[in-house]
Amino acid sequence: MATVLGLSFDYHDAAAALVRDGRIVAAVAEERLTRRKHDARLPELAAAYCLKEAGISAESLDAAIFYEKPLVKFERILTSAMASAPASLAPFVRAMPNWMVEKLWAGDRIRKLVGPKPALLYSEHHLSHAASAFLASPFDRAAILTLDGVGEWETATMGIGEGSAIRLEQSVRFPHSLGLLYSTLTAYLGFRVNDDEWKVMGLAPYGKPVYADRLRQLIRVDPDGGFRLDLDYFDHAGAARRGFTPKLEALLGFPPRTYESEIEDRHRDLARSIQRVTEEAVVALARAAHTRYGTDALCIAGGVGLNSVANWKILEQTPIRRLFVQPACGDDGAALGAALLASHVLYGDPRREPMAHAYWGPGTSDADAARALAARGARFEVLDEAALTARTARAIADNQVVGWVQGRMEFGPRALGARSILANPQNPRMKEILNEKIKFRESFRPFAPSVLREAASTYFEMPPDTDSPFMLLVPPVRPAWRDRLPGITHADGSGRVQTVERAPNPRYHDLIAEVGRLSGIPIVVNTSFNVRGEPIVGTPDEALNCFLRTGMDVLVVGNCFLTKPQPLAMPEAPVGAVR
Amino acid sequence: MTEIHPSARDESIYSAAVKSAWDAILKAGTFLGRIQAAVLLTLAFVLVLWPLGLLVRLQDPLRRRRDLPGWIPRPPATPDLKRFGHPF
Repeated sequence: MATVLGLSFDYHDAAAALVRDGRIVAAVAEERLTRRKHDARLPELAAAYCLKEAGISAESLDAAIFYEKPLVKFERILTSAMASAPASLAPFVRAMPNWMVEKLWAGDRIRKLVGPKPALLYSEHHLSHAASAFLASPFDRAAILTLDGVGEWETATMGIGEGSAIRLEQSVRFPHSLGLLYSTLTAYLGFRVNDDEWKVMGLAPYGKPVYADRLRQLIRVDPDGGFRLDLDYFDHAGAARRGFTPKLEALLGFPPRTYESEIEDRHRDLARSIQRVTEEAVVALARAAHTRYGTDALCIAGGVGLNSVANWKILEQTPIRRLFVQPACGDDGAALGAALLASHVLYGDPRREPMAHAYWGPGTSDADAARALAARGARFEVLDEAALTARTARAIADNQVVGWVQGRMEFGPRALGARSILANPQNPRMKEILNEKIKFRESFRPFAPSVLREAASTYFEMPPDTDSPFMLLVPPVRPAWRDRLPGITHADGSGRVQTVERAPNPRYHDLIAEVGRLSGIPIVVNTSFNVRGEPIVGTPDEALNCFLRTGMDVLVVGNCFLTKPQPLAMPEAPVGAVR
Repeated sequence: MTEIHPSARDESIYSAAVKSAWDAILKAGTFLGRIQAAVLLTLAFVLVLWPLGLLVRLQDPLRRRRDLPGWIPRPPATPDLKRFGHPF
């Protein structure tokens, strides 16, 4: 029996996760505690939280495991620089100081964090991703796909998981990368790499795939699912900061969009086209995994796994019937994967239970919530369970926008009913209201539905036994309901659905059921509790600040119910952990 | 509660004036350090990496040859602590 702390940092989305005796105890991204989006620094606060949640000190750890091998990554950076010289001079000079001063010394920094006693281990980037998917899944045997931008050298792997064993049998190596292909087109479309890929996916349904044929020239997908990029169009190791060469511009026939400039039809069409080409590649990979391993169960992790539209295509177009996508697909989830790998594979702890929910972050009890709100001088009511459900559901049915903070925070980028903003999906103006008054984000971005699991197949074209607890599938909304659910139906008639079961979050389940009783449809709009450019809120204080700054009507924290106006102003300095 | 990095939370015992002067020295030092690093790294690149790169390219580490398959077989991972004990 072992207690293991998994850590990921130094690229983006630093995180810590603690696994004890084969069970997940805690997992949180550093950004949620420092309030700095995509914080990549050593996750001191996240590690401290994980230890606190486990009620142990660092000395009690058996091991701390880093999610990748930093020297192998460094070798890739040097080799790429040499192979691309002299064009790689500028990126080399930019990158090296950080490597020399910090990244090469990841182990020493972890040692300082946990002290001399725990064993210090290093996983491999894609092995960590694979473990985060398979060892957290409900499957005893499943094919595994990991797909991201790049780890040490690898950008994709395929393998098989059986029991507690993981065998990754083949990989695609840098610079041939499906993640980098998507990111490069994200940059071409004037969005930020490693942050705005969502926007490309959200923009895609507004366009036509008119550039798909041209984009297919960028990637060759083999019948066995292997793929390679045509490197004439890419410059991942060279001087081009946005990762593409002039040849790509010549191929597409229009210049790259500049950041925050107007989005035109050609940009929508390009978004649709790259989404289409990515889906084709992901489907080919899933099909190849099925053929190679003869199982209809598939586990996916790595940043590309957050492409929930592509995930749905796997279920729609391949023999894969059981799909588990790690909710923290990115590098944050790799911290969890590394910890699970050490626990199950290296220390031999048995697999106990699948990851049925994502509520592994810092929590807020009802009493904590009341104390925190009272300390800020907020005016609120403390309600019993029935009144809390009834009042909140009534507010949603009456088209009010509700901030909802309950229990432990989600691990991963999606808000799943613990730190969510909720609204009425039947209101045709709700998207506008949320985008303009609360989220302050682009109007084309869709909002996702949370639906009772037992009712999901009534409203969405998904088989009754299909789960989507982590909001990582985008099935079509049934045509008969699209007009009645304008708040969550995207331009192409789809919805990024979260199916909600009662056990992991009974209060959220009861709320949606009550909304169903009042409005006739047990669905709410569920979007993350934050505003553009900020991490999702964690504490009642942060929730209150966000509530006061935006057009939200109601705030529910634990069993405390607040409405506006409030006799409060924003504090001069942001409340929350700062370092 | 586990205390991590107590040294990082030390409070300054110096006066505000000394602190400002120290901050200015640090800022200037950082600036000079950046210039120095850029010069040294450029020299290292031009004198070492670039020439070595000519040899490295012969091995095609970025797999530019178009006839190569996408997948590369991956060596089996042995689940022992030794393999996971080093950063390479």
